[in-house]
Amino acid sequence: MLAVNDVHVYYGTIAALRGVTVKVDEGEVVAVIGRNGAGKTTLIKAIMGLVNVVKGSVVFDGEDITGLPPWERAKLGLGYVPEGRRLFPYLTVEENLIVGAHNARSREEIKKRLEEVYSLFPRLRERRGQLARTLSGGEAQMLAIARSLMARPKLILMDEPSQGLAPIVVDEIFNKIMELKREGHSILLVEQNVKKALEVADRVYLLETGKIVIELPVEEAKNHPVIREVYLGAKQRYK
Amino acid sequence: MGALVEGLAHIISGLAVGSIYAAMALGLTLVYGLLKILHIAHAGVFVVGAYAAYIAYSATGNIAIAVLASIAATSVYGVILAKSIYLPLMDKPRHIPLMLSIAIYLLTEEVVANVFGHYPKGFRFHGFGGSLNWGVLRIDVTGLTAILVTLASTLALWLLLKRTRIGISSQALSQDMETAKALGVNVPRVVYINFALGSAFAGIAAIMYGLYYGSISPYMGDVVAYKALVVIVLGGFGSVMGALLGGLILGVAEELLTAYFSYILPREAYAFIVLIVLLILRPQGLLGRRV
Repeated sequence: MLAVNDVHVYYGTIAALRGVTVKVDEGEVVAVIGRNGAGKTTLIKAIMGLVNVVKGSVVFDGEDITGLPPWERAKLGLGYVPEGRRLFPYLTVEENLIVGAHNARSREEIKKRLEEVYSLFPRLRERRGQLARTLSGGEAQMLAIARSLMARPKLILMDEPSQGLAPIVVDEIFNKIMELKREGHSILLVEQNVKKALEVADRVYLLETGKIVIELPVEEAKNHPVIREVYLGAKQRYK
Repeated sequence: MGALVEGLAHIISGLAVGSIYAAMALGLTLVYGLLKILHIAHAGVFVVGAYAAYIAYSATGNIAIAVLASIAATSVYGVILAKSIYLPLMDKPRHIPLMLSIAIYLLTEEVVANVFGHYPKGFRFHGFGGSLNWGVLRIDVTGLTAILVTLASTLALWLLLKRTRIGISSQALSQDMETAKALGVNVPRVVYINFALGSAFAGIAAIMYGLYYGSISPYMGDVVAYKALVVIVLGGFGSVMGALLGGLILGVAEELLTAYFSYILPREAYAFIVLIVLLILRPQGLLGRRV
């Protein structure tokens, strides 16, 4: 469904991605893990068209979208949950959701989608008339996810949904992600919280300084020594 | 009693002038909100609107056609500027489109001056004008029309921004362009619509200006341009209601200060005194948001 092929991205002269290849199949949840600055956000932005891809290609649903502007990519079915939520602070919760419904044809259609999203996130219904900037961190993250769902995307790109949230709220968010997975959504998840990412993912990529260094199914990833010791913090055993 | 009536008359003419400033400022504030650019060339759009109305009215003698001609010319000119200058320069530092914007404004003035002459032209719609008399109070019809037109169009714009999808998308774009883009907001389309609308406001302001002062000239944009800048700072950058409020306050303050203190400073100086006082009291503008 999504194929990122040998993508290179530069910020000025500094390479942020140095030939990254990532694939997501239909119905799959794929996690890209890695440290701060490894290039995870850049990867998401490259897929979304928010940074310039110097070399390589992004193919979505069989179509090469490398040169398309972001809004065209959204129209093709890419959903986006940005790092740090990035809600529209001076719009209400419901208005934020309406912006997300860019491909809804009619008011009735928007209403229908609002209902669906509210039944998945009941707290947002309570807060529908409130400005987005007044939400708590967890509510804001739910709104960011809900906003992406309003377009009924074929693939959701999630950038660091656990960021800045209390552990109990992180659990709540990942329960929702799990729920989306069970409903059959395809998700590309970029996370620093490796433990949580491995709980929901089918496959895992490890990104280090702009390169994919490990690609494994999730069960094998959990037992991979580097991931175990460096990213899951398991104690190193002495021989 | 006489002093009271005189004061009231000054306030009404202040509101009339202020609503012209407000109509101008609405266009600026829409553009500033979206692109964070000071659209100086808006004053050029204003001049184009005035001459379009002048030509159309001279040719047909029909007020409606003159108004439509002005709106059409300004919207088209605004969209051309957006397409040829502002969108291509969106990723450049802000002073680059600003410099170009100033250049476009001067160019527009000079082109209009060369085509239509440097001197002011009388501007009036026959059968329109005069005054309403209520006892001792006389109200200028042109001024009153300016106030009502500006109030009505501000309300329409506000409803458009709050109630329609394109309005909500515009707001989203002005709050976070990158995210709006990635969520499917077609940036050029929203920008063109905003430029068309904002420029149409300049066209309407130009007609009101011409009628109110009885003439238009290629350089009529000079004073209005910096007044409109004062207004958007006063009202808070990007705020529609702020532009309305700022325009009206500036108009009234100027009128009153000039009426009673004109021996101290000329009229044009008072705009900046009002601005300085307000910025000391409320740096983010009347309805602006603290950044």
